[in-house]
Amino acid sequence: MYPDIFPVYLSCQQNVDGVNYFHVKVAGLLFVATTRVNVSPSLVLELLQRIARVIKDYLGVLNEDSFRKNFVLVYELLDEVIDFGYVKTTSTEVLKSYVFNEPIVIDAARLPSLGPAAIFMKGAKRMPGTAVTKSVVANEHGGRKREEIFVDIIEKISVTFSSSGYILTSEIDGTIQMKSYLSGNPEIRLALNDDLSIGRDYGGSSGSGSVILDDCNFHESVHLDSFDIDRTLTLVPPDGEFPVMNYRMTQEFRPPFRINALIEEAGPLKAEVILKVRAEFSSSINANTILVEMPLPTYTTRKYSEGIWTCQHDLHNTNVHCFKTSEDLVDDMMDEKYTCDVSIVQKCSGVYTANEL
Amino acid sequence: MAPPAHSQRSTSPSQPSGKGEVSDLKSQLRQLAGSRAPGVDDSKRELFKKVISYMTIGIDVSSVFGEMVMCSATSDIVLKKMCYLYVGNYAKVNPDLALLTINFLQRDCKDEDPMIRGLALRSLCLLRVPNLVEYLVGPLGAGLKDLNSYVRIVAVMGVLKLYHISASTCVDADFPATLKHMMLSDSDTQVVANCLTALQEIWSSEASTSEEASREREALLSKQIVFRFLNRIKEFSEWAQCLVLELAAKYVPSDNNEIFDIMNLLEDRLQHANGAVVLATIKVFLHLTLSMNDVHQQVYERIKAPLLTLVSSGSPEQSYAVLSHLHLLVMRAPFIFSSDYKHFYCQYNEPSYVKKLKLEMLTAVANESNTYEIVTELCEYAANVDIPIARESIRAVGKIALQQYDVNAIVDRLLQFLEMEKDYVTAEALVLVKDLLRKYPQWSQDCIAVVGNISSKNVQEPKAKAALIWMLGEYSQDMHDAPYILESLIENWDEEHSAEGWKNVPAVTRVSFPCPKEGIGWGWILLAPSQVRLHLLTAVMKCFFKRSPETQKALGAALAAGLADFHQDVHDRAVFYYRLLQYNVSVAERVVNPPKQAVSVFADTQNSEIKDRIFDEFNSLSVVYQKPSYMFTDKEHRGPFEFSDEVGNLSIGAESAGTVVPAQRVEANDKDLLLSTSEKEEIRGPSTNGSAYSAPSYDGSAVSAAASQALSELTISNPSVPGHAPLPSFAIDDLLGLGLPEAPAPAPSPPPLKLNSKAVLDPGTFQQKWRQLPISLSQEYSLSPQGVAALTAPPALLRHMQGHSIHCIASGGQSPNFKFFFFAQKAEESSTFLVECIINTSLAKAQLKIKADDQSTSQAFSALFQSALSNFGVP
Repeated sequence: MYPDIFPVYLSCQQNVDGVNYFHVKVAGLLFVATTRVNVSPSLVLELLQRIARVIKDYLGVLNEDSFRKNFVLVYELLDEVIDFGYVKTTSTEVLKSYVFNEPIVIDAARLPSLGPAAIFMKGAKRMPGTAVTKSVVANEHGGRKREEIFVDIIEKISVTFSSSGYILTSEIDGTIQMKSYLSGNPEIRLALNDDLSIGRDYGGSSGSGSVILDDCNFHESVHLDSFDIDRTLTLVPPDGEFPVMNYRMTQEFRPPFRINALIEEAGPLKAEVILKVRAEFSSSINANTILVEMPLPTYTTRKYSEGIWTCQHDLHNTNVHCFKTSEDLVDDMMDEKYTCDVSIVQKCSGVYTANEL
Repeated sequence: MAPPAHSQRSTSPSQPSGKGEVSDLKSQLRQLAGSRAPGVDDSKRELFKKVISYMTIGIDVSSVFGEMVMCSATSDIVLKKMCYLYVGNYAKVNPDLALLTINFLQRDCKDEDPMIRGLALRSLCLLRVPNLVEYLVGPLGAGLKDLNSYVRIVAVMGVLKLYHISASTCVDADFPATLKHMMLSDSDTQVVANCLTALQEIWSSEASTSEEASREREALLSKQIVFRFLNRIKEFSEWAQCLVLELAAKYVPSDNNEIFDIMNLLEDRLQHANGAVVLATIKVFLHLTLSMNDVHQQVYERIKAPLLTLVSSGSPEQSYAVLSHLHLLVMRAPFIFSSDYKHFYCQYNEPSYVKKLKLEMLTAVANESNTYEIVTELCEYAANVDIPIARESIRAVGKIALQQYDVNAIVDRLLQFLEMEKDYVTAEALVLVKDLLRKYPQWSQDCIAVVGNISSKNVQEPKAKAALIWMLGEYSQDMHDAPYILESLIENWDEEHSAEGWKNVPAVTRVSFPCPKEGIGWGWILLAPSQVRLHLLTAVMKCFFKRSPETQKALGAALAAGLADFHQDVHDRAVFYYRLLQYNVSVAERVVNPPKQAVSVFADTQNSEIKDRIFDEFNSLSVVYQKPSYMFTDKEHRGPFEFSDEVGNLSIGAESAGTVVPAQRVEANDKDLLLSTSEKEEIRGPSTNGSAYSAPSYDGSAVSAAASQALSELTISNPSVPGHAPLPSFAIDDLLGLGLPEAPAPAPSPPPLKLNSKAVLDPGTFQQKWRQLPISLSQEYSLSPQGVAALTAPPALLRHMQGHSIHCIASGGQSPNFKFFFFAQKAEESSTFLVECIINTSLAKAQLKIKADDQSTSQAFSALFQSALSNFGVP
């Protein structure tokens, strides 16, 4: 209905026949729901997201292949999650007692490891962050379960630098993600910084070191009884992956990288871009996967001709370079190991040719 | 056994028919059915999986129904589940096969394992075969009393399923009463939640026929039940919490203490990680405090942070849903996010639907304190590689300019856009500058200086071209070479026919243009290339009145080209102008180029009634679509929680008023270019897909179309038409008589009172006049019952009266007492009528007090007012 507004996502758009379509995209898969009822959009979208999470809990890995191999299990899960259009439960913990099919685990080793940086890919803000690709129900060889729990802190830092290098806006969206494989559901305590405070209005005493969160929310299993006293979260982690806490802060902080961009017009149809990325953290920390992306205009044909503005660029449409670790930096990047900083200078120039101008 | 024909039914041509495979499966299943060998379950599982995988990809495997049922006589629960899945899928289309399963399902309903009991019961209810309902009642009744909660959960939903298959069976078995009892006594919260779901649905649909059901439905909203749920809310699952919160949002508390109790109970729900729970809680808070202004404001403050967290913590899809709600809130309370505007800055990797909403948010939160920062940010986006977003950003800057009083800095930015030399930027900026000038004519000097430098050759998009041409005509005295630009455009008249220029423009772009006066009321018209030509005609006329010697030639050429144009509208307008000039030049000037009032407020896309309705439907799709549910759902699907049928009916009544009246109003107004295409789409609905000719704005002009038909026949008989030269000179001869006295005005007919449909009066003047003028008429008047029924809220009446050129300046009150102040102006002169109207809907009475500048006409006005009022609510 609105092709120009939502070219790819027709999320929540309403069809002529009164059917409302919802979809979410998780790990490249589309989860779709339809309804004729005027439901809460957040409820449906949240539900789809949860269904994806439950399926991931069971399959270990969420992708087309694992889906194909386990579709009977997925049917079974869906049957137990939704009955007659109403949600029963989306808790992996509860579902475990109703669901009997065993997952056919696909070999996780064959998968390209995504790592935390994957959260920046494909427009998805947050991907299941953990590298753990183990099903919560499948047993290890020998039938013994490893008692383990994974706690990940995933922060999405958004910083805007001005062309002169000043920080214009900065924001951190964070999640404490847990994935529990513990049996017997023991109680877990998670202590946060003592000097953590919530709400920007709490006085101006933004002394050094204290962390001020703008706001946060918690998973329903979290008890906040002692949170106000000693900043401790008490929870009995349910099986599977879930966010213990989401938080958001706009307090000033030192960004891990600084980025400088310089664009020069090298000719009427040519532009030269110099991107400098400088790591601001100590050399003892390894940045695992760094991905530099530079969106370039996709010049399509305009009025005069059928001619296409081609972008003869060694990096094509988006300039994507993957740097594994600082040791991998070669060739056109200078690696200044001696100064404890990683500074990457990359120079690339684009040449635009047009049939007509 | 299934006839073989079944196996081909739903096989798609692209798929292998699967016929061979299916019959293979069939024989294999048959072999296994009787076998008791060890490991047979494993081989069965493999076969079942195959069957289901065929089912999934669309191969019809219903022919193995019998074998599947036979094989399912097993204690293996995985096998059973697969079999139930299969049965549920095929039973509805094969009722005769479904009968086969009844036996084993009924047997399973008595199994020792509660899982099997529950699963069998669910599958039994999923058969959806009406003539089998008799088999359902027994197992359902047993299931509701089962000791295991899983079975009870299934059974409660089973009752609802039964109700949808056969309502009478369900009610006759007295299941609703059982559910009600369970809802209040069961220990398992999921059972309780399912009871609530089922009862809401059953009683809502029964309520139309049964008094008792309607009472029961009301009882769900009683204090006792609502508080019972609220007190236990934390025991419910997060999804059931949403259900309870939805119920609480409908509850009407008896006093303020109750309101605070509920809010205290739910306070911590705002910190829930599930966005659905948070939004449902916010709905409760907002609706409870509607009548308490101070607290309502505090609620806005309180919900701000959780909402922003939801925007940044969820998936982009969830952000989108939450942002839609933020947008609704910010329209009601612009101040709430005015200091948090940085949260709505776009990030480069966000999907465009999120970016678009963020741009709308930035527009909405802009105020004096943050405009500079916001506009600076938006200007950055104008160079975005994503061209649709770049365009949106420029439009956003324009919108902010139009809603701010201090536009100084923004005008400069817009003018800088014009100098960026990117054609889409120029195009968008031109349209905005045009709108800006209509609101702030005082900026014309600055803008025109820059606009004058734009080469019309670089402007190709029709709406931008039209905007440029409008400015050329309107400000031709200030733009040195306006006549010559127009002339060159006219020389390329035929180029405007070619379609290839519009490649980058949506095929149908709808735009409104300022119309000179009521006379030529072309409000919303399809923006085809012909629009540019129409504009060209008008602009060259305007230019001619200001700089006749220089424009004469161009005008002649334009009229000639217009007369020869194949497009009916262009042709008609050329004929019209030509005759107008022939008749009297100064009259023509008054028609084509009257002094204009600056537009003070551009038409709002939605009237406040619609916005209120959307707000009532907070946390539903209405917010995302930005229209109330009656516009996009059937009544039966309006929502599981839609309690009030009466309101539903009313809303349908209101719909006709709500869609027709504003549409007319919008057409009548010379309103804005500001709306994005999609918003216009919404206003006009599906009818807009037609061509310009079928657009409703043309409906009224059937007569004039006939008249112009006659005119065109006349012109055709005029031998001078085909040639280009003779006609213009003919026209110019007449045009030279500029100094002629005005033509005698048509004999004044005894005036039926005509009101100015676009009367303007500011509140200050109204008050002043109201104090000064004596009451010239005071009357009491009875309202029609329909009128009373339609007057649920003041805005409905306002819109109606506006359709009769009577405008409201203030309104208030709550049912049954409403008070309105209206005003109206005579069409010809600036004589004003002021009305105080007090309506009591319970007595169906309206008290009118009329004051008038011209007392002699107040009687006529009163009659007009009453007739307008009596039409209210009449469909």
